[in-house]
Amino acid sequence: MSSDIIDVEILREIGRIANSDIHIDERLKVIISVIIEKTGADASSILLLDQHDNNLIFKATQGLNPDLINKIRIPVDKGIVGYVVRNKEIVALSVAADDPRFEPVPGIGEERFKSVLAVPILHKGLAIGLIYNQTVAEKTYTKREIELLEVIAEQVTGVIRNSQLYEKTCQHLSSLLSLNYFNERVNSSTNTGDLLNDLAGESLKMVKGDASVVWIVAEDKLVPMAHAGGDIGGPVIYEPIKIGEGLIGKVAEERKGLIVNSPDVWGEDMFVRAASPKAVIVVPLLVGKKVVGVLAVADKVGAERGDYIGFEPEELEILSSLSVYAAMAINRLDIYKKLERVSAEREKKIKELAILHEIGVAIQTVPDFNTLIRLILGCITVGDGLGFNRAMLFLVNDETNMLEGTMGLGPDSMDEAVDIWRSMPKIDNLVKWLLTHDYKDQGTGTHLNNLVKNIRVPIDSSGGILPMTLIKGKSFNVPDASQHPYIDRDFIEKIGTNSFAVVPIIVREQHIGVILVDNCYTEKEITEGDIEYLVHFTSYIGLAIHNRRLFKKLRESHNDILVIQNKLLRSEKLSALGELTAELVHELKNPLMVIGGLTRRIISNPNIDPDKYDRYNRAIQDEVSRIEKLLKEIQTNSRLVTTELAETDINMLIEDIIFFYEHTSRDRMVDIVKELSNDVGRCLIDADRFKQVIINLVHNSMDAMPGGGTLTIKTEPVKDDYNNGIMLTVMDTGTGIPPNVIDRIFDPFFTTKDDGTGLGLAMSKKIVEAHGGTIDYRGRPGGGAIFTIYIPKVGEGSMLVQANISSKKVRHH
Amino acid sequence: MGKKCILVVDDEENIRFLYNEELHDMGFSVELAKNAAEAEEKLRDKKPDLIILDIKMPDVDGIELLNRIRSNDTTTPIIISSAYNDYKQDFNVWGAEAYVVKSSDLTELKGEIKRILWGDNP
Repeated sequence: MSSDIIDVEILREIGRIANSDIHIDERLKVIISVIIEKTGADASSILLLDQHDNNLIFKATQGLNPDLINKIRIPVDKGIVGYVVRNKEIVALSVAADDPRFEPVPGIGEERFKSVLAVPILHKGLAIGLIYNQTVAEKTYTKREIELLEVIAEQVTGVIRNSQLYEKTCQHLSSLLSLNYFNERVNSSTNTGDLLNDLAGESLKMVKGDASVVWIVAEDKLVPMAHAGGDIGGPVIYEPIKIGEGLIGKVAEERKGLIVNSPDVWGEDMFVRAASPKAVIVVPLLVGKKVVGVLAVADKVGAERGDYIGFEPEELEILSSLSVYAAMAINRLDIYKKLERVSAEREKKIKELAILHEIGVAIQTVPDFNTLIRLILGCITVGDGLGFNRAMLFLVNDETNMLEGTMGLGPDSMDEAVDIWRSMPKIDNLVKWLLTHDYKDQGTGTHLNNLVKNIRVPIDSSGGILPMTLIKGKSFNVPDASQHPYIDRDFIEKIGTNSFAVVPIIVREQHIGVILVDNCYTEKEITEGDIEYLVHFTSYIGLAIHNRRLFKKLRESHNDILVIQNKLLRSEKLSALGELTAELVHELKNPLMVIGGLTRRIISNPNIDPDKYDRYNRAIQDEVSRIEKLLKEIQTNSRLVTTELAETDINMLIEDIIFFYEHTSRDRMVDIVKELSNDVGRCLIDADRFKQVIINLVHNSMDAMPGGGTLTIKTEPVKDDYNNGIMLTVMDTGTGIPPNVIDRIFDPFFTTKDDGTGLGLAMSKKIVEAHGGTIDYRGRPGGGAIFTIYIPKVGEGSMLVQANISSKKVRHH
Repeated sequence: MGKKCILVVDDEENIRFLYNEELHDMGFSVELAKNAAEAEEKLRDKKPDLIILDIKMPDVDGIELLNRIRSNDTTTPIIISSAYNDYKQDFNVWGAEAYVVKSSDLTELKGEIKRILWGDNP
């Protein structure tokens, strides 16, 4: 077996490891066994650098003492291993003990080995660790062997980076799951102490922190109420903190969460001094604009494991979401307590609290945004709920910067109102009733809904009461609209009522809309108590919208990982557009050299032989056509940057293409077999670009079967824990691709055809990747090529359901 | 003493043709090979005085061919002539005598040939 083939095999095997979903420690273990098998070393180990204390940690080994994995830490100024990492230099020694740098590590079992080959693992110019090979016998390492280990080390960098990304995604998805459970729990909790302990514990788990503290606002102070995790500095931090003082007090004052990953910027702070963490996330507990407390999580876990990576913005995002749920529950319990003292109102209010709880659960279980909004407005208007006669929702459109009517719910006339209230049965569970009852008709088709949807006002003082509520972020109770400075006669006539209330919807400091309610039929007075509850309801609308954005983000980051994994698997060299340009320059230089070179000869030899002259001209003409052909191909292939996505039926697209090829395939004696699944549905793609991908593959397959054969095109849905998309397979019975060039088939300008430009597959890959998909080749047993394309479905409507499915089944590492 | 012989290895027919014309004019005898296999066959028959080698070729590329040549012949001078700019610093690591970026102006290539075969100072 030639050494080239060994190289390719190793790369492929490590690529497979990079793409598997096992824990990094396991991955390194598998890589070590590959190294032992392929390089013939008697012992091989991987050590990684902890950048925080400059120690090398013994991460994986075969041949040395495996009990010491993750236990031995070697300072980077010691031994051969330290030398390799410090100097980013390869060390090859036939007898290591003769070298002055050699310092054996006790207990590790190095004594029986003689030779050493140590290669640094580099990432972005920094050494992040090394591979350390040893043999029992003396051994002089050849250039080839050293290069091989160097190539492996490059791959290991990818594996490590990939693992970190992968584990982060898993962590994010599992955080989302915890968030759901937490919300369910806090909604049924009736004890503030339990709730706060739960919050402290949950926050710790979600971001893998080491310790957490929850403070609650009492007058102008933050009083520590709960903590979880390890040592957090003893009694010092249990003193109340003034709002505005220190890191914690500032977060309460500014009502904005933050991440601090570097201890230097903390300055003098009581909490920091006492807890001395390496990084903290601090978030305020907000209900609308009101601060009810602060949550802080300190990280130390990572540092001890040796792969400390600090906090990420996504983690702040997750904790902020957690804090919104917690703050609302705290606020609810606060109100609940006050209520217990007022026994007259008690029963009604408890019912309202029960509805709040139900809505909290509904947000997690009702996937469709419109249904959810209708449900919430239903709770506000249906008799047993808050009992307003009508509710109108207006949301900010960020693109137009207008406040736009989104939904109106309520009867259109007094008669209708009476009918509805009379026909409504006695309801035990309002939310359940609203979800099962066909109340949709009385929502979306009505005069009121149409009226609301036609209201659109600019977000400034000219727009009247609606934008003013939004801008000021406070509620307006308007008993007599005709006397109100922000309201004109037109508006009163349009909505048909003179008394109403408008409440802002605020989530995480963002003012996203307003709700207007009235009692135009019963003419019941709107009380301050009513408004307090309404404010509470609006935070659920805010959350529903926020949740939708969060799910979308997680979904996207998951897709990013799939793309990265695929890139690593192929260990491709030419991915960026810049490199594509470099290749293009290369491709143009050859014909230009011929054209220029021969022209120069013609000019400098006026008495040139006529035959020669003809030959020169022919060559020049050849090369000019070649450039023209290349440019044409680029023109048709490179509109990639502006991808226009549209809902497309992939099966239809394929039918169209096959129709186009029917004639050609008959001429070439190629049978086209379609296996198109009816379950693939539609997906969001750029149909023109994608068509080109399929045409490229069909074209290649035809070329590969000069004597005829079978071309199979297959589509099937793919749905599991991590994927929801479509798999497209193009298979032929042709000559296949020679094993030695498989790794290069997706490289730009690589071709095996005499008249090929080498752009077809390269561009196909770019198009598929621009869709967040992957394209792969494998040989067909018995001869021929199989290309598979995976395209993820990214649909607005399916997103919530998707994120729920993936989060519930996520595996923990 | 006969003419000095130069072996040109390049996968592009018109490029080989251009080299052939220019090198003949300079008074060399020229051998042409369109890939590594042809080059190795010609090398077995006769050892040239100089080899001009392209990098990007299908199957075995120029760098790999250079490695193969150097594994049993460390003396025949080799000039790499490629359209790539990027490898220019690396040629002596591979054991080549010179690296010339392809251009329609062959002055630099000719200069290197003269320096290597005739000891001229460019």
